[in-house]
Amino acid sequence: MTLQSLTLLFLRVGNLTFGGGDAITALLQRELVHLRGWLTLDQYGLAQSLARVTPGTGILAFCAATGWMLRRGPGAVAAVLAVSVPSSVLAVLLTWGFTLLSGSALALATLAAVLAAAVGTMWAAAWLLIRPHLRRATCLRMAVMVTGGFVALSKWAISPIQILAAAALIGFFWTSGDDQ
Amino acid sequence: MTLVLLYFLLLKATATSFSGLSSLPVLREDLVVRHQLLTDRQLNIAVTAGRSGPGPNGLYVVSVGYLIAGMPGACVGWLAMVTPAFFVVPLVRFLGARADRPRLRSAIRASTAASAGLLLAATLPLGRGALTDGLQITIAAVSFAAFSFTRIGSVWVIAASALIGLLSATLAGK
Repeated sequence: MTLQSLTLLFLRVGNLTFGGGDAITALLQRELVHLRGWLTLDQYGLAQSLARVTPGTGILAFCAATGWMLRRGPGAVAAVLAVSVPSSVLAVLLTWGFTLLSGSALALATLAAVLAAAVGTMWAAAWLLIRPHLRRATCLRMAVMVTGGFVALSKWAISPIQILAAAALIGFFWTSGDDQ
Repeated sequence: MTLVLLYFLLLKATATSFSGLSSLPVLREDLVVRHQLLTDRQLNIAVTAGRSGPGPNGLYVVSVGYLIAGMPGACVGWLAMVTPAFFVVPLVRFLGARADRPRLRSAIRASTAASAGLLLAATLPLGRGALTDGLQITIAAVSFAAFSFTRIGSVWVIAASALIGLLSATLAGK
């Protein structure tokens, strides 16, 4: 496996897959573990777990981790660049297009519908963070954290950083069976 | 607003969140509320643009940078988006064996749950601007269901929303 083949794989999967990080990770698992055998399932699992505990966009941390496992520093840099640069250029073009279209009544109505979909997207993002914990022993802690985060920001305007730090501190001491 | 300051404001948002859109509350507080460099409407456009194409969910940070400072801002946004990704390398090297420790896992899960609450709170002001009639509320609800319970690609949901908005405006004679 060369740096070039690694870059081409991340370039293809990362920039042709819609649906965000989970969809990209699933496709990379198929390519890296099952089709090419570049990583073992354990290595893949470790990269995925650590990507989840790394701040920022999880899929980029996942790419950095697997790139580092395969080709050390150059592999990590190549994987992150390959996944993020072309899609970022496209995001800028889409932003430019959406902004440009905001002058006409038809475009405004279209944009309003798209923006409404964006709000639905954010509800879904929150739901997808909550859903894995619903049937676990951590359900009560999750409910307290979600509600606390919501109220602390919307009612009391506490800084999100302070809210997240407080949540991590509480979680550090409030463990449950599922955390074992 | 210098590019360096913009970078650190965006990095503050990306480096203190654990998924693509969970950086939104921090970013909104700094750029919309405190510094007023961006409006809620522009933030909505950035989120939409970031989700309309392929790639990571965090791409809206690039769009935010572009809306504030043009192409240099987009580059700064990209840099702020990718910087935290490299924090994983020392984790892979040194902390891999500790990731399963119950207290660390518990702290991360609690923080992730709180970020879901923050995300919901952040949709309140965004929703006030974007959900102004029954059609838009329906679109938001259907989008939520599509993203949450199906595997439909986000581009199809956004394209369908745009088409419905266009048809609705055409039928209303706008």
